[in-house]
Amino acid sequence: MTTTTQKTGESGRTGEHELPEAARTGIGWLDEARETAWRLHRSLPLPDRATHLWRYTDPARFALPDGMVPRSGGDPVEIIVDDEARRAGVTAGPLLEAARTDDDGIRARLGALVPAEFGFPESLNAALWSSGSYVRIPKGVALDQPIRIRTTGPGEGTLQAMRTLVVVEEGASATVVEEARGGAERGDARLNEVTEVLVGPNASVRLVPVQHLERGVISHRTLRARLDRDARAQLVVASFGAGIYKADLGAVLSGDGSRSEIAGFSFTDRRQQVDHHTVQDHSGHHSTSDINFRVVLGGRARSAYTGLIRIAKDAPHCEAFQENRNLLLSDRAKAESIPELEILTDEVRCTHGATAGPIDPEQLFYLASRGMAPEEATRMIVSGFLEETLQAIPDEIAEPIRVEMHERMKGVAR
Amino acid sequence: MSETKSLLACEGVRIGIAGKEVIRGVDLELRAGEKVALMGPNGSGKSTLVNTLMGHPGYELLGGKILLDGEEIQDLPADERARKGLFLGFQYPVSIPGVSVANVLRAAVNARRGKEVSVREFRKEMMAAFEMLNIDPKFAARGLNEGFSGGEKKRAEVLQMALLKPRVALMDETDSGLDIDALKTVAGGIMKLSGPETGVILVTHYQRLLNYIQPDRVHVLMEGRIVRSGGADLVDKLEEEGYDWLEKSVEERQEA
Repeated sequence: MTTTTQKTGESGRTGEHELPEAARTGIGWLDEARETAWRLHRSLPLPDRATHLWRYTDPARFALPDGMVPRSGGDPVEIIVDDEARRAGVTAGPLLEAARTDDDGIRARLGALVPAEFGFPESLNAALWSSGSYVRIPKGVALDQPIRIRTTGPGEGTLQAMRTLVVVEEGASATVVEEARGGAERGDARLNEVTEVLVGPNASVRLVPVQHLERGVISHRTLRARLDRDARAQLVVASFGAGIYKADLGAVLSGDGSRSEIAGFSFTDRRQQVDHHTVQDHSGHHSTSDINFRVVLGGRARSAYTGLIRIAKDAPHCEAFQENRNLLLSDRAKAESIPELEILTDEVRCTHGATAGPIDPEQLFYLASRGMAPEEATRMIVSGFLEETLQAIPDEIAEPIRVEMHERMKGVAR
Repeated sequence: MSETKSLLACEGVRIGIAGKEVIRGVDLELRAGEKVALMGPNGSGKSTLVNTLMGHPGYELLGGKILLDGEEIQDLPADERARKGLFLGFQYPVSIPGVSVANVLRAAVNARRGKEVSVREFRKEMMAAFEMLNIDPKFAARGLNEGFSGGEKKRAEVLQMALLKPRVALMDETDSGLDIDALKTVAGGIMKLSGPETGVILVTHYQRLLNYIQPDRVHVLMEGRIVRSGGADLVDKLEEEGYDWLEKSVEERQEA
């Protein structure tokens, strides 16, 4: 094999023309799709920093750096599903295995919501994902216990591209927790994750993307859930770790009467950068959505939140709410919050709100007058700030988030 | 216990806000078992004084001393003053969203007593205080002052006083915004909590609360100074004649 390296376009990215050998799966249709995605990725310039999605985070961070190798071998994913679910006919296993047998027409579903054309990091994912999970909840099956997908983050000098496909069939309900931990503590490591969720008519899903990645990891995540008629999706997003973390999370409310909720939590400190984008995309009649995103920042951390509400012209009687609140524990931390509304119909109810600021000194004085030292008072106010949103979430999901928040509060640099 | 024991004393206290002197030399003493009323028209500096006594970082002590149990506390932060037994019942208590009444009470009780009080013991005390103040036990789970009515906020302040058992309670306009039933409950609570070892300063500009709590002494604060001190009969005179006659005497004094 000959290796040629050349500069491409303005992006300054270098790399091979050919799909890296490690990315070949031996599955004909998939390798074809990967080649196409790879060619597309190589032809794409880096996204323009002037476009809203990339105003806060440098897209070059999500390109495949020169000489960095995609992770191969040693599956970093562990899927935990109980026997009850297995007996009920639930599928939960490696995505590649499912693709090999083309179970349930995966071929048609993979990339339906987040195709290679979706964007720059997504094209890289489509070409290179090396491990992933496939979850299918059959029609009418309601699971009590969550399905857990645990990922170990990439080590130094590695790119790890992962993909998850979740199919919740008509009338089914389930919780899927996607948890990423570990990875490089310093240096440069990349994680690129894409999750697609198809929620059938009258089905209900709770998705919990949580990340506690180490600070050497630069991570991009794209998640889309598409909701059929009367379907419901609740997203509980918790972002704690990584050096740079960018997430694009959205609900496509194409079914009439569908409903999505996103509860977001982020806790960052030192020099962490987080960039969350949410999408509430309404095309179904009477569809409703609600986002409540709470960010706590210490040290020199940076947070950007951009929230898009889109309501199609022929989608009357929709309701969309969006709230983003940022609590700054340090005067060197910085938070930006930008709502974006594209509302093409008149019959809607839509509100949005954003706040960013330090803890109210009157709250600190109040608790001090009750004998609480400043650190304790701060902890209490921060936990209350998050608790307002956590209360809407079942305890088994909320409790680990609560515990992690308390843990993080101990080490916050003021 | 000697009845002359001083619990709280201000000596020549001067306070500035944003460079302007608003309390211009106040001497005040509160002895064990006493209830002292601090009255005065709006803007006379009553709230500024009690907030500064508590240690509000926004107010600057320009001069003078504050003594709690004979110990100077003017350089201590608010939380240390609180742990030594000073308490402020706020005129406008802030809300702490997402933090329940029970959580704040428990943390406050632990801080005040310097040890972890068992959950069982704490609940017992909390329920007793709820009963005394006619508060629904469901109150415990609500976010502190979140969506509370005026009356609920004031009750929550007295509730905290009940559990913290302060040496000195500064009650800032605890009577404002209360209907007559709530006023009776709140006044009854303060009466029950003010024993022979405790001192209370009641800040108010109406006599209403003082119909239920007989003060041992009354001070009238105007334009940053105590312009008149007296017994409970001073309250009646203020009720009949308002503060105008005192204003005149302030002017006369300033001219002199």
